[in-house]
Amino acid sequence: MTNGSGVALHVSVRVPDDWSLDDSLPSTFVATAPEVEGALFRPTIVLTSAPTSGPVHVVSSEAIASILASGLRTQLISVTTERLHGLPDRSIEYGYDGDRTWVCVRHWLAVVEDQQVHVTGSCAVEDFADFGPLFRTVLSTFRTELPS
Amino acid sequence: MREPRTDPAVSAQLGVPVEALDGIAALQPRPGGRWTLSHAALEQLWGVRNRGLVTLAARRSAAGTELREAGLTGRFGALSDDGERFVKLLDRPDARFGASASLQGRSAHWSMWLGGGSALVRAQGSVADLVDGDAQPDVSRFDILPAGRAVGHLMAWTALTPAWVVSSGEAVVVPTADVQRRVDGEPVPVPSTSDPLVHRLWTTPTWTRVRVWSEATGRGTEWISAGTDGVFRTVPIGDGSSCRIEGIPGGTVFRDVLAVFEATPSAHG
Repeated sequence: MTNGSGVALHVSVRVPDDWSLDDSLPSTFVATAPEVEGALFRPTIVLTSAPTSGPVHVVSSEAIASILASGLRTQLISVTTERLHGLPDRSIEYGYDGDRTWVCVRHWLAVVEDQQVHVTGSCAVEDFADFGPLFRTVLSTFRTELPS
Repeated sequence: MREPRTDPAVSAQLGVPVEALDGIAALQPRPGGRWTLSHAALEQLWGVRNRGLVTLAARRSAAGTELREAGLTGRFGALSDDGERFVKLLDRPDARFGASASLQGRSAHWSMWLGGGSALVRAQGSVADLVDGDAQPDVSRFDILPAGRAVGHLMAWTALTPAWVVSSGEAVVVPTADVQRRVDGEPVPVPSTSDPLVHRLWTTPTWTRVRVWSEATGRGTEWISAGTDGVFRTVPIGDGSSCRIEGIPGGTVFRDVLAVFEATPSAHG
């Protein structure tokens, strides 16, 4: 497993060692599953953080509006709150038309201090049953650290 | 930062402001389809499948014109490449799946013929059409999609949309017959409850019963949609004359639908 960190709050999750990592964008960490021949979509996990002055219901509303505005024929399936890690949070599930499959997305967001944190996992609907437990494991490794 | 509209009942139950989700449904996709065909055109397409040429009268009939304009037959009435793929999936699928929805005595149907990683999907109306009162019983929308995209097509057909599921801990038990009467659009008194979300669920204008199944395995799943007020199942109690109303999150419905498809290994070809 490998750590990926956003910059502002030092947020991190751990992903499997063989995933490709890209942290070239500020406050964004992208992890992509190894390429598999014939796969319809490469599973991806993205961690971002950004300042916010709003509580979680505001951050969630903005996330939902942005998902619906994506122009990808996105269908929202569910919005729940689980207080994962004791944080005010939301889990948003949705799907959209990819080129060769329906892409399923689980978007977890939380407000930590004055930051909004988003962890988004995407996979082909064919991989959903296997990807779900992996995404839960990745979320369970979510850590925050105040900058020193 | 603009303050979003909140859901007063859920916010009160959870003790924190919670965003309203009821505005999402209107922005959700409806099931698309490359070809809109009448029943007569579909029958003619089926009839053409083993013949190279068709009679002039059949070509010039309304059904023949419809097929030609849809690009499923060519100038001489024979199947085009799309038409060939269409009837091959219809005729010799690896697996078939179906869905139906009923509301106030009206129904909508969805079908999928799966073969070689592609799927022919057919929507005769949709849950959203039923709720809106739109009925085009003689017309079906068809498309050929990658198998995974067909699952998305089904989800659009079901009009599944997020709603808060927050239990007050109070079990709501009602006569089972009342649930069907409610689906049928008959007036049924609101059960005695102190839970504002149950009250809201019961007083929503329409309930739609939705079923999804695999023809190969016989496996299926079923739920009742109260639109933006949520989705629930009925859990029989004792001899089944009464049932408990159990609200379920959309994510659970989605996983149950996927389980119907996963029961057939080739469903994700």
